[in-house]
Amino acid sequence: MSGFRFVHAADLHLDTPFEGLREAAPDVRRALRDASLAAFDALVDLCLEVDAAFLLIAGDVYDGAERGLRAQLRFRAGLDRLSRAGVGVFVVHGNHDPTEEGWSAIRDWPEGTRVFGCERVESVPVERDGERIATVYGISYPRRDVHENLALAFPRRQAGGGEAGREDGGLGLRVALLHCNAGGHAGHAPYAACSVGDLSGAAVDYWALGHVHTRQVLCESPWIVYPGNLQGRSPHPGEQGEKGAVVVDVEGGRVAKVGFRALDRVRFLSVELDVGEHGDLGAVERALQQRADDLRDAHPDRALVLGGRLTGRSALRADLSRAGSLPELLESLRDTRRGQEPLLWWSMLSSDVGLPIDRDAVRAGDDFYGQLLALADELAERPGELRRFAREAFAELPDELRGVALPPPDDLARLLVAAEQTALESVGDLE
Amino acid sequence: MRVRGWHIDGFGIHRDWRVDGIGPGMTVFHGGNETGKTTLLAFLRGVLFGYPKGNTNEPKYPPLAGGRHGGRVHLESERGCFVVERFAGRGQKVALTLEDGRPGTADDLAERLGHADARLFRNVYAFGLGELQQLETLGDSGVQDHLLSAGVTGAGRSARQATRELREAARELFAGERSRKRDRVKVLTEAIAERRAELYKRQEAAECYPDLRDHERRLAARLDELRGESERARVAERRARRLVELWNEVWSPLADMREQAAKLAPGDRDPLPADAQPRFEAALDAIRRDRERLEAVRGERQVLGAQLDGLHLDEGLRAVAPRVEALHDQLALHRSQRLRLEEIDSQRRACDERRAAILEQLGEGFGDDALRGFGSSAARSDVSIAVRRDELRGWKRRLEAAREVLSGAVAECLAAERDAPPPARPGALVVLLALLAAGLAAVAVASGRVELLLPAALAAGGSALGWRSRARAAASLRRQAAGRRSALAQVQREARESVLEVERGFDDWKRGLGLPSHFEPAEAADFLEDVRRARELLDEAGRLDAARARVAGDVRDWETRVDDVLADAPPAEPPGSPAVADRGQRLRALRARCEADRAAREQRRPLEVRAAELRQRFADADTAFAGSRAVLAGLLEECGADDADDLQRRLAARDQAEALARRIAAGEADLERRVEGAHPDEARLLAEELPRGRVAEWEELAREARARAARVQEERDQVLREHQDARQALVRLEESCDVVDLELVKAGLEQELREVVDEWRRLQLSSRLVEVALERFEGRHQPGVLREAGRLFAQVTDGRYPRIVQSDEDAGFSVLTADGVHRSPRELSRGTAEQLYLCVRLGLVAELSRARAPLPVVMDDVLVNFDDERAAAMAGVLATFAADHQLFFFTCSTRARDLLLSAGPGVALRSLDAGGAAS
Repeated sequence: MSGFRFVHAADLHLDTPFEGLREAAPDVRRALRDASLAAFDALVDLCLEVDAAFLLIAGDVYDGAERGLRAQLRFRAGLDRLSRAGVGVFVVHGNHDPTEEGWSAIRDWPEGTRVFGCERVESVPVERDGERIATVYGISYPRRDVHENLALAFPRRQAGGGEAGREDGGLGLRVALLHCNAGGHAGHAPYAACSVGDLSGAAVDYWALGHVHTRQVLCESPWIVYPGNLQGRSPHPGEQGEKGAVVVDVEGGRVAKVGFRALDRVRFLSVELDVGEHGDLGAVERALQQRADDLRDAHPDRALVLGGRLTGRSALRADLSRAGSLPELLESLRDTRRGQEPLLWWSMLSSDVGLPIDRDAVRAGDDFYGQLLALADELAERPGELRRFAREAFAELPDELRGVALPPPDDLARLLVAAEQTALESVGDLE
Repeated sequence: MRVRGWHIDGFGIHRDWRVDGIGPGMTVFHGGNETGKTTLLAFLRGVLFGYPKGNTNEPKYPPLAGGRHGGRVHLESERGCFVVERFAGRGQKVALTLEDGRPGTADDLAERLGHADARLFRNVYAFGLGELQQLETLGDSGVQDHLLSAGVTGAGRSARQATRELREAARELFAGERSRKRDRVKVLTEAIAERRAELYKRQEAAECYPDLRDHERRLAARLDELRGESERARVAERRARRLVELWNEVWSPLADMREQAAKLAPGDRDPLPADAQPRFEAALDAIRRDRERLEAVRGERQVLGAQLDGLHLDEGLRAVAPRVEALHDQLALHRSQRLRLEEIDSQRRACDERRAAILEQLGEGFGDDALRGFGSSAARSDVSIAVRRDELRGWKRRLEAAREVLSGAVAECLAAERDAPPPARPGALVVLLALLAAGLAAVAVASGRVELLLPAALAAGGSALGWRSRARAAASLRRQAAGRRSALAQVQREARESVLEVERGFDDWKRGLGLPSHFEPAEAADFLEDVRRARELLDEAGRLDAARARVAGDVRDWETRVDDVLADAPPAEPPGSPAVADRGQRLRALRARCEADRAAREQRRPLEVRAAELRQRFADADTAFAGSRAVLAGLLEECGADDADDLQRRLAARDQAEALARRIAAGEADLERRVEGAHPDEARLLAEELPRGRVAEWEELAREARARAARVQEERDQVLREHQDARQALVRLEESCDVVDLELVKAGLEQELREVVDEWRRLQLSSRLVEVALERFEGRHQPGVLREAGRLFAQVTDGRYPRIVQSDEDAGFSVLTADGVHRSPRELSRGTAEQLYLCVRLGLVAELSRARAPLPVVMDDVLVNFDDERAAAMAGVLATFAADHQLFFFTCSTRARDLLLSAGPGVALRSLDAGGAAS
């Protein structure tokens, strides 16, 4: 069997509404608006560049059931280009764009494009020069919340470790396309949850997965790969850094190489700065600018969106707590970068700077402050108690805000630290 | 800290009240109503913590008996004695005198007062029955902070205050669903909802895209159909119109031309020579050309003849022209001479007028002849005048000399009269006569008229005789004077004679010249000057007359010559024209005529040469014209034509037949070309249909096809518009970024909401942390207070209520009965509740005293509602309490006084008088 390549991408989230961004300047907004579509165009270019035999898209082509027309037409245009070049395209829908929800402006797909249905796992042979080089399996989500273990619906290996497909002969590389949470990734909804074992038990050579936005290879035999999303969507940790697709080289019917290609147009990065060693806010700003310069050098050809976080314990907390202080510092950071190409945008700046106190010493005291810190430590050590405590504190929130109001455990722990500092600060001077 | 004494300057009924030497422990202040106990309590509160402000309802206790509103309190601490002085009024500045005598600050006072504030002091330390009865005074958050949470505060801010501030800050972000406050969460939530609704609309519009695209495709297909229908209709119309057009433009004219050609076929006459037409045209051209040339020359000759006729010549003018020119040259001189004549006449008249005026001055009858004869002894008149002037000057000198001598003599005589001795006083008549006589004498002498001297002398003599007869006695003295006067009179007479003689000579001289006799020399001099000027004017008139005669002669000579030449020249003016009298004008007119005549002679010369040339050309043209006509006549004969018109008609008929043949051929070729230019099927159809000649039918077909095409076009326009709209809507949807832009905005708002909620959560969590920590802290510290209060309350109630415990209700505590039943303070009787509140206060004071400077406790008749038993028990409690705390007990009750005094040995008593004094 002759060698070939294919490209695996997932979680395109075309025309995605970027989260975690506010007060974006017009040029920034324009860049963000077009970023997911430009990344998809780059994906098409990549397929043509590497002479891919086919492209796999493992779900979440669109961001929501209310998929935008612009995104659909752009997607269709990209598929047209690939079709004209003879590149096959295999698509499954995920929780963001289930087949039975949303609407479609596209009534017919270009030749060579196959969108898998949601009733059963379908298989499609892939031929090149009259030779069957691969068989692609796939299944789409009918609705958003799919809790079945769809991995088990794929052809299973026969007992004894034999590869059924190969034994049956002529299937070529067996590629499975699935949108799922494999291995219980925190931070992602447990849709179509399955284990690596479930996947390894299938008669599949390459699992082209989607849903988890962080690029990772769960297994190399068989290959179980998350390419991550095509374009970062927010300053959140899982959305930061390079985003793109993987290019898979196949030699002799086996995966020979899995390489990553960054295709994002706007890159989200974070900057964390301990202000403890800086004497004033001017020094803090200079240090942040230096970090930005370093990141600019490290990512010279991408628009960058930076999220700043100030940490440490410092007397600067009083300055930073002053109303308007952080926004002013943020605006100053933005002003310095205004008009630069490629774009560099400070999306936010937060402060977790603590009071300049010996916390252990205060905690050991028998006064109110000691009592306060003891309570905070008690809550930190008992997450369940913390959640109950928080739920009581947030009880006034209306139902529609309760979802955003009760953050995940990590965020709640961080919130507790911030609240503790605020409480100490509000009660009085500890010096 | 304890109170040693005070000095009230003026406060309520108290005036200049000094108290000193108050010891530690309990002091009972006993007095009846209106002895100022409550006033004293207010005074102590006011001096230590400030008087009530003007805008509060609390009583202010203004000084009723005079004095300044306020006073001072003497206190003692571990460091020594100090004084606090405070007076009511603006600012209520407090004066603190420290233990070492230095002035202290507000901070010093706060430190000495254990950082207690007015509210704490009022509610816990210094209270009356009113405060005691109010549970709320213990529930006051400030009291709770200070009492139940002692030690919690930091930097002056209490934990509860921090909680309130955190909650308030949180409320700014989110005030709760039911709140009407437009907090940030609400604002953002509404904004997000608006964006969401807008997004929904946009997305709904976008979801119409497939239907819209189908609609657009249907419209495009319909457009194609209509385009075909339109084309077919246009082809049908074009064909029908082509048939009509071919019929009208080609087929029908061809038929007409063929018919005409048949009519023009030649008859039995001989054919004309082939070149007859050009030769005929050439002959006609030659005739026309020669005739035109002949006519042209004739015309030129007529014009020239008219020009020559217009140039008139006059030999008479030619003859007088030189004389006219000469006279015209003198015309300017003639004018100046005429002006000179006028000037001379004017000068002559002026000369005569001036001379006549002088003559009139010289006197009547003094004319030109007298002038000419005046002074005729001299050869020249001016010389004679000069001689007379010299003579006149001589007479003048002589006259002046003689008159001077006479006046000297008269003066001496008058002097001699004055020097004579006084005469006898004559009568008035005598004096008058004498004076008259003297005057007459003087006049006679002066005028040379001797005849007057006699009456004067007679008068003088008469008077003298009279006077002598009356003054004979003084005659001798006056005789000498008379002699002298006589001598002087002689001199005077001689002088007068001399004057008369000169005057007679002068008169003779004037008579000789004809001058008036009364002329003095000056007047005579003026006369002579006038004569001289008149004579000069007379001479000037003579000179002017001579000059005028010369000029007038020249003028007359020029005018005579002009008259002559005008008379010799031929008359010019047309009959009836007005005659010009002025010789200058007439001469100039004549000269102009001479000039015109000369110019006409110069113009005529080349015209006459030209006239000769034209005569020759006319003869040549006439000869050529005759030759041309001969050629035409030969051609007519050759063609057998009657005349040129006949030949012309025959030639025209032959040309028309030939032209028709050509047009028929061309029409046939055009028809062939037009038909062959169409599609073969169309050409075949046209060729078949055209000969049928159904023009009306074709026109109807064309109209129908056109109407059909219009209908199709109308529908097509409509469909085209709809298609364009659909296309634009499609493009708008395809290119629209509205949805994603709105998504971005919405996402930004949602992020802002998340951040606001996050901030709210932080504040809420912080607030909750403080609250819970405070609860826990109070849980650990509060029992000490309540334990002490409970012990005292059990003592007072004789074990009926053994404990006081924390509670979430009321002021944070309740009592436990001996049966273990919780009782809220509000469930107790009034007296029991007051006992409870008093015990709690005592417990709080005890607890507070561990951490801060102790303050004196002041109670105002708080035992009035206690029964005897409990009052006695409470007195015991207070006496025990007073062992460690200074306590003032104000009461009007003898029972209370006695109970307290008997409760312990160290209780002091101070009685208050009705006037506010103390003993």
